[in-house]
Amino acid sequence: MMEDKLLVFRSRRGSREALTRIYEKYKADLLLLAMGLLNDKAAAEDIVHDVFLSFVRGLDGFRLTGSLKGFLLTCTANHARNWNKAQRVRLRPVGADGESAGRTVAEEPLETLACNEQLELLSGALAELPFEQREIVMLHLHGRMTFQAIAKARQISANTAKSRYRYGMDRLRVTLNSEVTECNQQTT
Amino acid sequence: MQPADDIRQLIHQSQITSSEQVDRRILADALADLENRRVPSDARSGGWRIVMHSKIFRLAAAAVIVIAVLFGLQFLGGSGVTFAQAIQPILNANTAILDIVVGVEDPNTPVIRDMIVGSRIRRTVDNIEGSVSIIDLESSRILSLTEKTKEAVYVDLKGLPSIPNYLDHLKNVFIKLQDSPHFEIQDLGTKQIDGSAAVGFLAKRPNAEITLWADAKTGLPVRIEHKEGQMFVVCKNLQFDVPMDEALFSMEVPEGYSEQKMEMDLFGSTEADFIEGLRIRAETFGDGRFPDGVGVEDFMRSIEAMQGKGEELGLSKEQEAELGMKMNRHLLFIRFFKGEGKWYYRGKDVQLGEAETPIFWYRPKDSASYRVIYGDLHVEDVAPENLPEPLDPDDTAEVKIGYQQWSKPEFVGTQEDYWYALPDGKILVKAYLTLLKGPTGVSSMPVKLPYPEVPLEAVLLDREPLTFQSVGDGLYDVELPLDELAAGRTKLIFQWHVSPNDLPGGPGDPRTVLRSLIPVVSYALKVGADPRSDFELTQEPTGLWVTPFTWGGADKTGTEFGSCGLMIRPRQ
Repeated sequence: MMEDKLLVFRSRRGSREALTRIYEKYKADLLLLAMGLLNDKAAAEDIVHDVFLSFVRGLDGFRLTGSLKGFLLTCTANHARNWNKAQRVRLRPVGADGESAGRTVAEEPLETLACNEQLELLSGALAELPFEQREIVMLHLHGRMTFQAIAKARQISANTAKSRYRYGMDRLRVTLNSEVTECNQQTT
Repeated sequence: MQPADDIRQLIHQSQITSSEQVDRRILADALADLENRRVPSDARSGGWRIVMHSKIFRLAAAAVIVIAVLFGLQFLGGSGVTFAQAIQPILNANTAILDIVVGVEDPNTPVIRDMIVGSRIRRTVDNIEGSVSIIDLESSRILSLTEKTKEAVYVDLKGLPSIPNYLDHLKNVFIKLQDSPHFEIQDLGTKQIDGSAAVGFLAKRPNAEITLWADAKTGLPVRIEHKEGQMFVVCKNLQFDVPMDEALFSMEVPEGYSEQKMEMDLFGSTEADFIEGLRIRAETFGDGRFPDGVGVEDFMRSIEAMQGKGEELGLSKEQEAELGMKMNRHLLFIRFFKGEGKWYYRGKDVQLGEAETPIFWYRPKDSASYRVIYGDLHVEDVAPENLPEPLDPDDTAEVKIGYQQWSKPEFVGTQEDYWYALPDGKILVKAYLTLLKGPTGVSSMPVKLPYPEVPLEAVLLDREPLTFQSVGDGLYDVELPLDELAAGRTKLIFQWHVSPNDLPGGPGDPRTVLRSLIPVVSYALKVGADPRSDFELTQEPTGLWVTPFTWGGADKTGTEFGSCGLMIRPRQ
């Protein structure tokens, strides 16, 4: 916590080392969250890229009041939500000019993120849930954020956050039912 | 396992790794943005406004300033004006006002202003605006007040001996300087101070010096310079017996002020505390570089800049307090440095993380090797011959002061008696007497043995016998070679034998009176037994010896110390 405050402070003063340290410290958490929410490696990479750029651009007015990890996870979830909305728009029928709003083949990044089997399984199952439920399940279980903190970040009530989590978990259990058990048996 | 646990475990086991290519892309863009928005750090540093708002840093700093310059804390333990005359105004004073400068006197060095009445000091520091500290040495407490923000903080000092009257304490320091066998006083002659002629006296002992300058005409002290270890403090603009309002020294929190409490252990700082402070100073306050210096004066000079940066951190009160306490402990390591000899700092311009660059080294007490701290803050034990630099010429862990002659009539020394039970049934006694001071020009030293009926057999100086004669029961005069004493050969050995039958308690439970040959500032009794003797030790010895009695460490002298058992018994 104190280390994060110092890292933010030094980053604000232009320290490249401090910003690099923040990235190295939290990149895996953010990528995993983005991957869990979007089930798309290229998108996960873009989201984390955008989160870091926003973080740097907002450093001047930034005051860390809670945990840096929580802040960055919330930013990632917000960016992922925006991406998800935009994606839904892009997936609608093509425009009058016949051009798709989606990513073109030329823009597709190389396969540069490697997910293990469990993450592939998880993100596949999460993709079955509405985004609002995915988000709460991941922030709570992966980000270890309280329902209250999630509710505050999402500007919803804590009860809403809890019920979305509950619904999300119920559906995940159904989806994962046999696969999770099988996967865990293989890994233990 | 519950289904929720399965999902939790699945998330826990999920892993994603990014390639170097991803990292490079994200970091390159983020760092480029960082570069574009970079503002020179100077433009961000604060001035007085920031200083006023960063209370914990200010308080931590003020607390350190307070303990940094308490005179004589460690001492508890030729013109028309003489030293005795020069200290007289101090000895007579009931109140005092003075300015204190730590380190080199220049316009950038903060000046501490003290008003002293009884056990209380009202202290202000000229680079900490709007703040005043009342120090109560009797209760070891500081009340720090900030007028602008109406904040009051009590700082309880742990480890500080109770000093009911600071001026009395100061007086004792000067009396001790005059009388102590440990100190040597030199006349420094005359020099001009603030346009007037002043005469100087230097009182010194290993690792401590006090220089007193007094007006050559009036005899009033005008300047005191105090060197303790590697800290140098100057007291100037001295005024004595100035009437002062008692209300200025109140330890009560004024009405309308908020109240907080802190605690500070003056002597509890460790090497780890010092290293943590180095890390903070580099990381937080130095943009990754270590500070120019780590001495008390360096810290005082940098307080303003540190406070400004501290404000920018936007820490919570708890975090501010934690950081402030860490900085305190860091500085206390240097302020009450417990190592042997000097410490060496070479961290200026070194970047945090430079694992090959030594930045600080010192020798812990009773250690043969040095501790060397490197730029990445790892520590290694290094033999003296492998240090990064040779030691300073004046760096001697133990400087011996030779025998000195003084105006008093008595000889003073330190004594260790070694009693050794022999196979022939007797006990051999060797008393090692180290002479510190003696009357000027007098070479005949009277000594008194603890048992009048036991004859003195020999007196040796570096194995050379000295002449002595009996002048009464147990009383002898020993002829001293003054030139050899002045050259540093000051350890005399006195030898005699006693019979256990003649000792109090007899051979069954032998005891002895404890009496030194001359007035001494320390005395110890050590006892051993030859394996072929009729006695054995009652306790596990250290080497050959057990130590039934020790006394000393103070500046006062003594000759009679009561009696004690010898810790031997007839062999079972």
